[in-house]
Amino acid sequence: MLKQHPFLRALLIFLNIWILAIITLLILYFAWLREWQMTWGATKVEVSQYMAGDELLVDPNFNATRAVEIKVPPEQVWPWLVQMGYKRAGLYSFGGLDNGGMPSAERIIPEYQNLKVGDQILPSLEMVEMEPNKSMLWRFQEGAGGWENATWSWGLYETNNGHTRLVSRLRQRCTYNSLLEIVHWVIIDPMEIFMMRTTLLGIKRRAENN
Amino acid sequence: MVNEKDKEINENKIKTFRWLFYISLFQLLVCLTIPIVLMPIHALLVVEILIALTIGLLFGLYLMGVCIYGIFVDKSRFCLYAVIVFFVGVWTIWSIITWLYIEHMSYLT
Repeated sequence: MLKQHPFLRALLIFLNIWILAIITLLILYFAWLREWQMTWGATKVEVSQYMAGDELLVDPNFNATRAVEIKVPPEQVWPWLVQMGYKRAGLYSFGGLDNGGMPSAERIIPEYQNLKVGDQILPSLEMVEMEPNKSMLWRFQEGAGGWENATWSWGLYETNNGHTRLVSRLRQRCTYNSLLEIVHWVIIDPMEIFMMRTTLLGIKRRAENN
Repeated sequence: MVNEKDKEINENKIKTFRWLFYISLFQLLVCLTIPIVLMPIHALLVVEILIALTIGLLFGLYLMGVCIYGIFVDKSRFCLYAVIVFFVGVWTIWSIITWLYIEHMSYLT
């Protein structure tokens, strides 16, 4: 009887379409999209090669290696990397969100160039290792929620033509111990690429334009 | 007698479709309005744009699918559905261009 009411019938159709759409999206995501976005821009060698911090997290189930080629040598990319951070030069992604409402810097800021081990990039993200013009490792600390203990590694590799391959690797072992963590990863897993890609392209634009 | 029954079935189909249209429209409007209530003012524009580029677009495409069906089922509102299909089409193209050239979108980055 209830099913005869047009509104309830419409609601049932509405939900059925959503169930079909979600199943289709999940199949597409895990069959193809996830691997593509987790390795966006990176070569097979870059995906499989060792990067700083790999030994800190064994068997991660979130392992994203992305890369861009920047048409300047690593020495000209490095200053943009070391000044990154909250209330510093920003993360070069979405200005209103990643830097407390401030846009990310469009110039190299001398006072943020002396980054050292132990400095905070974000409130729960710490710099743990760096080799100037080559690599840098950040690690999430306690209080970073679902990101706790995750590593974020940067590598700069000079190509034969003097350009830079800038590689970012973000690794985490998700435990799915609580509903909150499950929700966190259901959202983060497909969405994080939007920020990371913007960050990489933001660094590329800034380094090439300056 | 048969015609009366056919007419009734058709009217019910249209009524059901219209409810489906209203629910889909409501879903999209809720998605776009929630940040206005929840987000601080300085982040509102960026959040709205990001929603329009991700989950909002998904809801928009859902509504577009419903409207494309509506063009054939509910011909009396052809113009309304056609306008929505056109609008979501433009929105989709804008989203693709924005994602392709995101680093140059100064209003976002």
